[in-house]
Amino acid sequence: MNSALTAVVIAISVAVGLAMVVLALLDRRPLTAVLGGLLLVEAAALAQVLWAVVAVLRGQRPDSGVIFTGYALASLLVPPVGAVWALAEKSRWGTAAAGISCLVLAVATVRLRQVWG
Amino acid sequence: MDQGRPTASGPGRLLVLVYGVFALSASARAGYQLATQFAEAAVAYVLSAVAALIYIVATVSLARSGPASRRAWQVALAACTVELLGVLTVGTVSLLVPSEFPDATVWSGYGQGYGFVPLVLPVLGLLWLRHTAPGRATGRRREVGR
Repeated sequence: MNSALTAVVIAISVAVGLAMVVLALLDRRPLTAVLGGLLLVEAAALAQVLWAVVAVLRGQRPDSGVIFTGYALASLLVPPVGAVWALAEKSRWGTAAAGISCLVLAVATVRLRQVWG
Repeated sequence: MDQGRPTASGPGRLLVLVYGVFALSASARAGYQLATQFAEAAVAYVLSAVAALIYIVATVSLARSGPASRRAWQVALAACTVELLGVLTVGTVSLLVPSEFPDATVWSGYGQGYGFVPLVLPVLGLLWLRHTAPGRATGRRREVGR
């Protein structure tokens, strides 16, 4: 895995996730900011998976293709599923759930890098 | 009488999300282990599958429990209780008899491979279930039957 790219993805998802947790602690639920943050995180996840697809097309292979594919699909699914689940909650806990979704993507990205080898 | 409040609202929103993440990751992990490496550590991998199943049941029942479904609250209570007993038992056994666990399960070492979230999760789940229990808002004990 391109370590600069994964570092950027981890940095974005941790920053956005922590910002949302702080907003939740402040009892805020800024819809536009939360949606924008989740979109940014999803874009980062997408860039990462596209990088991997291009790398595979060029002949590179992860250590375990099955596990890598699983984590790649999960990383793409986490932000939108988290968004739908979080935004249905009309309280600070919705913001918190959105933030945790971003942090889950950070963890998935760490695993993606490990599994790539 | 009071039918309890939805367990998926308020803090429960966060709880169900974390349960969902564990349901997904534990299922994927167990499925992969059982399909490819079953012979290497049968006990550990069967336990992984059991853990995954419990996470799925807990996630679904916590997401559904509320005034419309008291049964879901009871199922969630059972799932979280089994989950807590599971993580305590597997955690203890994995430390006492590490040879039975050549590869880690989600509950090995009380879930230390997952930042001890598997140990904290059922405790939070049970506390939340007590908070959302049917009959609680009126100060009455849970009634028998319906």
